[in-house]
Amino acid sequence: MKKIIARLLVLTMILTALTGCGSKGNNQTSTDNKNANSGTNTENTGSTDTAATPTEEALSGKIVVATNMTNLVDTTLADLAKEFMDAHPGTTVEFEAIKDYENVISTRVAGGEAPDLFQVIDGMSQDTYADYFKPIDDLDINFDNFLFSKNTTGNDGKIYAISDSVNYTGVVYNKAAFRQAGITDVPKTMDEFWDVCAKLKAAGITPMGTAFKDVWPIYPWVSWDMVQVTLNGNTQGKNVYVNQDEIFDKTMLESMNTIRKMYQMNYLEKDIISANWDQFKLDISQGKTAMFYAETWFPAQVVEGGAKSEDVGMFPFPGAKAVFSVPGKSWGISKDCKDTAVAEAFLKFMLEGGKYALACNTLPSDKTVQNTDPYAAELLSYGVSVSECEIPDAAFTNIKNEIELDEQSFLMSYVLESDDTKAQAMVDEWNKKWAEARPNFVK
Amino acid sequence: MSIISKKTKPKDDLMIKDTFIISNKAGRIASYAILIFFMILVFTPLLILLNVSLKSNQEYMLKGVYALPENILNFKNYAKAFVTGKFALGFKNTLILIGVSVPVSLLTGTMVAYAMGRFDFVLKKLMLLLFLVPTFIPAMTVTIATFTLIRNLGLYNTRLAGMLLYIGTDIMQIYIFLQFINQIPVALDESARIDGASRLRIYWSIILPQMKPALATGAILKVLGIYNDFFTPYMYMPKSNLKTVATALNSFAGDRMADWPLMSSAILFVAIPTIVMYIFMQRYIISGVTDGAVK
Amino acid sequence: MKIKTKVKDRITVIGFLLVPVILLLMFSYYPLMKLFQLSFTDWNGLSKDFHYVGFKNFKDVLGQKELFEVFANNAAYIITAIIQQFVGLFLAILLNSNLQKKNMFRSVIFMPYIINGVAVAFMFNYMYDYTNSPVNVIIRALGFESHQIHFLTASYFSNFALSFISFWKYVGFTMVIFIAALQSIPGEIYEAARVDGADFKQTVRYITFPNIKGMVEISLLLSINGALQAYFEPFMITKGGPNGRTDTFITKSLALAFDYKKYGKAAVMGIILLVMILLIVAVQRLLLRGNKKE
Repeated sequence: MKKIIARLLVLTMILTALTGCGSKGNNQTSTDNKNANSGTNTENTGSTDTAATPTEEALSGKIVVATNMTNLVDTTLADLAKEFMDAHPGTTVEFEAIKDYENVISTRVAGGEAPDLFQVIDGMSQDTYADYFKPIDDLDINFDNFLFSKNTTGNDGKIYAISDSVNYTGVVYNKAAFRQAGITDVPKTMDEFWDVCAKLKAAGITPMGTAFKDVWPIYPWVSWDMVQVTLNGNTQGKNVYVNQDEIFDKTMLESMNTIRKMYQMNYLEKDIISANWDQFKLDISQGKTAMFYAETWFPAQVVEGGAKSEDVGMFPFPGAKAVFSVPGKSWGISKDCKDTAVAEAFLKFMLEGGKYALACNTLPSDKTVQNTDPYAAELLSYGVSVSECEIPDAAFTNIKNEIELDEQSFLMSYVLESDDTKAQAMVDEWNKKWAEARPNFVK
Repeated sequence: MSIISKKTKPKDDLMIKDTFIISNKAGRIASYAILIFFMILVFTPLLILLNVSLKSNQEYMLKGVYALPENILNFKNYAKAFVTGKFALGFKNTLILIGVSVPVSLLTGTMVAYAMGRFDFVLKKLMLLLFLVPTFIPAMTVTIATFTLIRNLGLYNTRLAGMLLYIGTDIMQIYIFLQFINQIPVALDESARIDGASRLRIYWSIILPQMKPALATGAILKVLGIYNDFFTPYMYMPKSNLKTVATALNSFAGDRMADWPLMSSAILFVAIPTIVMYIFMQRYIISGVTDGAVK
Repeated sequence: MKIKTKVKDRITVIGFLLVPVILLLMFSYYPLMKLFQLSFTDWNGLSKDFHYVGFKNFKDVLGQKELFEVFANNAAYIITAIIQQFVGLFLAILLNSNLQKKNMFRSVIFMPYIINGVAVAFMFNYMYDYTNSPVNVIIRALGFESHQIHFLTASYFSNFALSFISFWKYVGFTMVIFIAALQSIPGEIYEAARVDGADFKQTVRYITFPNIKGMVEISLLLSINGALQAYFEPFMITKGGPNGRTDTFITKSLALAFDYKKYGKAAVMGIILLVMILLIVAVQRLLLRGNKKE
């Protein structure tokens, strides 16, 4: 009897030990899976004994998202990250603020240390997306709901990045400054524009800001697609130039000469070379500067700087044939990203409902989101239609890189050149380089 | 022109002896005036920054640059700069870099000096040449290649990148050590050898202690060098959690161009540690600099 | 016994030299070779592969005159470097005389050398900011509003404004080196001169200068070396702007690599600068050897 009981006991012990090992083993595999940070969801459902874990809960890992919105990293963006992390415990999402975005990212990428999620920068094109990003065709979103969703496709037809927002171009202005100068209506033609400038100047207000020192803020004056759409209503945008020998043609010169003339008439900041972005934002918020040629992402920053929301507005560039609708920042997942599942989930999170765009006070590219932005509303109320551009040909960027053209830097020196002949010579020089290089890239 | 023989104790030799006599009174006044002018040139920017940093931004906007701050002990800007600029992290990273690079480079430097200074071997001349040539290669010119190398080794954005660069490229130090070792009498080695000490022992217990002044100076100069270095962390370790004091200041300042009081406090925050170090260790720093150049 | 010692010696030498030599080869020699290799390729810094393009990069670089015109900007730094030698020497002479408080003056004037370069750069950024510059504040206060100084403009002067920062930082360093050089001249020579009735000017001319010639040449060489490699001040303050007005040879080569992805051309520029500096060093060594024979 005792022997049987003893054997039964041993048997029970062994059995419990076995099942114990079994469940321990199951726990082991799931923790192993967590530790191994497996990319795809299927690997997480390896064991069958534990309750089937929903794919979202098994999400874990860390990603770094590089943004240029340095002023929002600790506020709205931190909240956005937290919202995601709360919904997916086990994940870590870190926003990294980078001020000099273009330069820093290109060096980081060159160093093989791109952040997990980052924005497409100038110099990348259809030919090179695959060198930087993973394809996201399989991303679990409805691409048709998003404006510009097919813009950042590589030569292989795969989608590599998606824009988070849409921007409309126009002139942002401080209404209080206009009132102070006795201006009642926004200028709709160039003549009215010069008039407005003169009145502002007379009232001691800087008509137009440029933040020259930081170079990038003057991009609208010299961005080929923006200029073509605004002045000509031509939706070919950059592709016009792929097919012609002049990179700075009559259209471009019209735009560039406007800002050059403004400089010569002292309608820009007093010491233009010292004018930096932070100082400029302060000035326009306080009404010391009246206008800035930019896009719809800007008005919110004026309000942030202290202006009253009702004092900020936007109107189309005087005489514009169309308001240019342009993709905001396009986000892609780094080719070297390790926690791809987290990156994909967060990208989807950022885009759907325009969460990231709203956190940055820009207009979401998600068509299903209702736009309540008053500044964009005002911009569009002036009756100028909105136009997109066709997708730029990679050849444009390739030729530009080949001839080492930095158009913003160039515009600076063009504006500052007081001698007209010399200025024209500068333009001619670049046209020549463009013409010489073009045949190498266009069949 | 070897000054090293006199510099076994840095303390005494830094008093400058009168070589010239300026007897003309006008000459003396003019000389003092010139020297004072340069002193003012050095101090003025720093004092202006100090003055500005102790004011709040509103105060600064209202009263301008030169008005004295309401509250001389207003360290609010410094506190804000320290936190927002993540300088705690910057200091930590810099200290880690210093903590590893300085001792290791002192060790490798003295080891090379010992091997070259105390032994004769077949390839010695070649070795000397090997160490001499890189002193002519200006660092900036090979940046692209060094960057590629670091990247290919997978060291981009790692602390090791900075450490290896700081240790592996300081040839000047080796020459100073070499000079120093030649001053240490070989008799010391030999008496230790007779007592049965191994070469390693001789290095560790005899040579190194004798080299204390050179080591002290070398250490201080290297600490200064690493603390002040911007380019290496910027190029090779730009990740935000590897920021050093120099790159932290750069990122911080980039955004704050409209708030000069805050900027000033950040600038001074970074500058003050080395200034304090300088006040206490002037002799070592100045003697180190002169030795290095005079070689 | 002898053989044993020799073997032990060899082991020690190898053991002690192994790591430093490896580091040296890796971080000093390898980059140099890599630089040469890169100069013959069309690498864009990202892809795994690249092609050898022979001397194309050399031809391109040598044909692009704007890459060499930028040396005109470096010239401002070279001129400042030369002035720095004169000022440093002058101050050193003053501090070698029988004035009071010499050590204090030396301490203060040397101090900028030890301050963090980034801090110094931003400090001067503030000094040079047109609206906020304390200098301009004074000028405005004195009523000369229209005479405010534009420090960083599109004119060549900006280069001097930037090189002045370097001057401020290093003049004390130059001075200290010269003080040491002057101090190393044996006192007896001066005694003899004094006995012979030489005055200050004569002493300086016939005794001081010949004896420190070597030091002056080395210091000048170091400074010119630095001037040719200038990049820090433009990089921090103006980014080479406006539109290349304050670009230097190095900032241009870095831009070629990181902005335009032309690593091959950037490498060529590095080699050109390297050759230039080596030539200058060679010339200096020849002169020095010539002097020593005297």
